[in-house]
Parts: sequence; C-alpha cells; structure tokens
Amino acid sequence: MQINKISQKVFTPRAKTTQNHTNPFGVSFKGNIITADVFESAKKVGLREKISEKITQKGRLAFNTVLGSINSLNQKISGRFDSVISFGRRMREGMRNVTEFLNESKLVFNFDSSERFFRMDLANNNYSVKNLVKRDVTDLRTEMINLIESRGIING
Amino acid sequence: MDNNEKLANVIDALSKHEDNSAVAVLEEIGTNCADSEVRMLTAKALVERNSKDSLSVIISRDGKGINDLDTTVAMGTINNLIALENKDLALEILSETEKNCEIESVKDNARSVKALLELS
Repeated sequence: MQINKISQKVFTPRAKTTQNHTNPFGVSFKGNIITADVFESAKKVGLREKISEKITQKGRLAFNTVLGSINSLNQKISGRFDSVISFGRRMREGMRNVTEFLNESKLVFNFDSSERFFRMDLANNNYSVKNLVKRDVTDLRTEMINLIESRGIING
Repeated sequence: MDNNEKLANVIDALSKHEDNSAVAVLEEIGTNCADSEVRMLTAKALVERNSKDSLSVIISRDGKGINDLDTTVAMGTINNLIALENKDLALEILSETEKNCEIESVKDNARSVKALLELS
C-alpha cells in the first residue's frame, strides 16, 4: 500500500465529524455523522415552538404582572409615605402649638398656701402681649385706664 | 393673671405696637399716672420703643422719665437708657435737649445723662 494512494479522508481529523453530536448510535449518512437534531420530528419541533411561545406568553404575562405589582407597590409605598409625611406635619404643627402655649404660659408658685402650691396661668387669654399687640390702640388705652382704676388709683 | 400683670402686659404691648399713636397713649395715661410703679413701667416701655417720639417724652418733658420727681422712676429710666443696645437716637435727643430746652433742670438732667451714656 502506497502512501500516495491512501485517500485524503484518512488524514482528515475525525474530531471534525464526530465532535459535538448527540447521536448515541453514530449513524452516518454519506459519510457524515448525523446529529441528534435530525431525528426530531416536525411534530416535536412544532410542539417546542408552541411551548416556547407559551413560555414567551407566560413570560409576558408574568412580566406584566410583576410590572403591575411593582406599580401597585409603588402606589402603596408612596401612599404610606404621604400618610407618614402628613402625620409628621401634624406632629410638627402640634409641637409648635404646644411650644407657643408653653412659652406664653406661666407657672406661678404659691408659698403661702399648701393646698395650691402652684398654678399654671394659661396662655389662652386676651392679656398675653402677643394677643394685646393685635388689638387696636384705642382698645388698649381703655384697657389701661380700667386696669389703673382697678388698682384704686385715680389717674391724674 | 392678676391686674398688675395685665397692666404690665398692656403697657408692654403698647411699647411694641406698630401704631405710633401708642406713644401718645403711654404719655397721656402712663407718665401722668399718680402711681409711680405705672410711671416706671411706662418709662421703661417708652425707652424700649427707642423711637424719636418715645425718647423725647422721657428725656425732654418736665416731670417725666429722667425728669420724674420720684427718684426711683428717674433712676430706673436712666438705667433703661444705659441698657439700650443702640444709644445713638437717645444721645441725639439728649444733645438737642441740652441745647434747645428752656427749662434749666431738664437741660441739666439731659447733660448729666448724656455724660453717663457716653461713658457707658
């Protein structure tokens, strides 16, 4: 046997034809190893397409559901944030009112009597400076005269 | 709140009132009051207002503010003037009184208080 008569196919790397096929029986057609994909029937292929379509549709549905749930979650979260913010605002307003009230209130200690050791003069009266400043000067004039007279002093 | 506190608040409110006619009310009723405590509160309110009208009352008027016959009221008013953060207006009115006032005692008082304010 001469080397030059040997078909060139002998030297072709076998790995080229045998690589990456899934045919377990090594069935060949015209010298080529048939891969497993050839054996898949049209019916099966169609089924697979349908499955893939279904998967795609299901995926879309799932995606839409996820999107919808994210939107609703966002709404819920933003709604809760709004309620938290409004609660904070109400708290702040309340604290401001309390602070103003305490600033204008006065704690008076009475050392003469043990029954009422202290009393708190509440700010919600017409005689706090803050409220008096809002009144008309003529009103304040009348008020001043009345208060001086109530001290038993006749104004000169 | 008793009447004394109410009165103190009314006088305080008049000193802080936006309406300039509050000065006239304080002068008419407060500085003419027979009670020295009311006059003292009124003088303090007029000093704290720190306007030309209010300072003129307690500096240039005879028997009022620094010229009050009650030394407690007069000294209290001088103390309040010394305690002012911005004394420029007070010094200006004191100088005017020192130059232009016809009543000698008022002039003398203005000169003395001006010297005190300049030193403080």
